[in-house]
Amino acid sequence: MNNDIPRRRAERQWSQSDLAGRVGVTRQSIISIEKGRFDPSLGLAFRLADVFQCRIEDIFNARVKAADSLP
Amino acid sequence: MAATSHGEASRGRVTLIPLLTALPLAAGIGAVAATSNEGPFLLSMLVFGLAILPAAYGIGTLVLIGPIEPDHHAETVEHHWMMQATSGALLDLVTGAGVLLAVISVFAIDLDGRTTLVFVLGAAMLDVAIRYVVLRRRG
Repeated sequence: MNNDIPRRRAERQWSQSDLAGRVGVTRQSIISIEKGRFDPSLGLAFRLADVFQCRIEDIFNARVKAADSLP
Repeated sequence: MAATSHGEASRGRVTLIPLLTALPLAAGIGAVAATSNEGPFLLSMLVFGLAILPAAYGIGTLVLIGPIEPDHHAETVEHHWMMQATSGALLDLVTGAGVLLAVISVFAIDLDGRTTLVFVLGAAMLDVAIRYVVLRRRG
C-alpha cells in the first residue's frame, strides 16, 4: 500500500524516531510502513492520521502493487 | 550532555541490576546441580553456574526491569515478524516431529527422552531465530 508519510514527516521536520514515538511504535515499524512492506493496523493508521491531522485516506492510497493484486 | 549522561546511567542500571540478581541465582543453581554431580564441587558449581548465567540474567531483566517496548508493541513490525516466525516454526516442528516419529517407528529406533526434548527445543528455537532474522533482513 502506497503512502506519503515521508513527505508529511519531512514537512514537519520529524525524524522516523520522532514519528515512532508520537504513534507509540518502533522506528523500524515506521521504516517498513514508509517502504510499503508493512501495512499498519487500523488503530495505528488512525493514530498516524491524528498526528498528521488528516484523514487515513489522505495518507494511504488504495493503489496496490501489481504483485499484490495477483490471485 | 545531561541527556547523554542520563541515558548512560539508565543503560548502566539496565545492565547492572539483572546482573546482581543473576550472579547469586546462577551460583545457587550451580551449587544445587554440583551436589548431584560426582566431579569436584567447586568446578561443577562453576560450570553449571556459567551455563545458567545467561538464563538467570534474562530472568533478572524480565522480573526487575521488564521488557522495554513501545506503547503499542502489538502494532509494531517486530511483533508481526515474531508472530510469523513462531507460527512458521510451529508448523515446521509439527511436520518434523511427525517425520521423525515415522522414521523411528519404521526402523524401531530407541531414542533417549532427554536427548529428544533437547533436540526438539533447540531446533524450535533455532527455527524461530532464523525465520525472524530472514524477515528482518527483508525489511
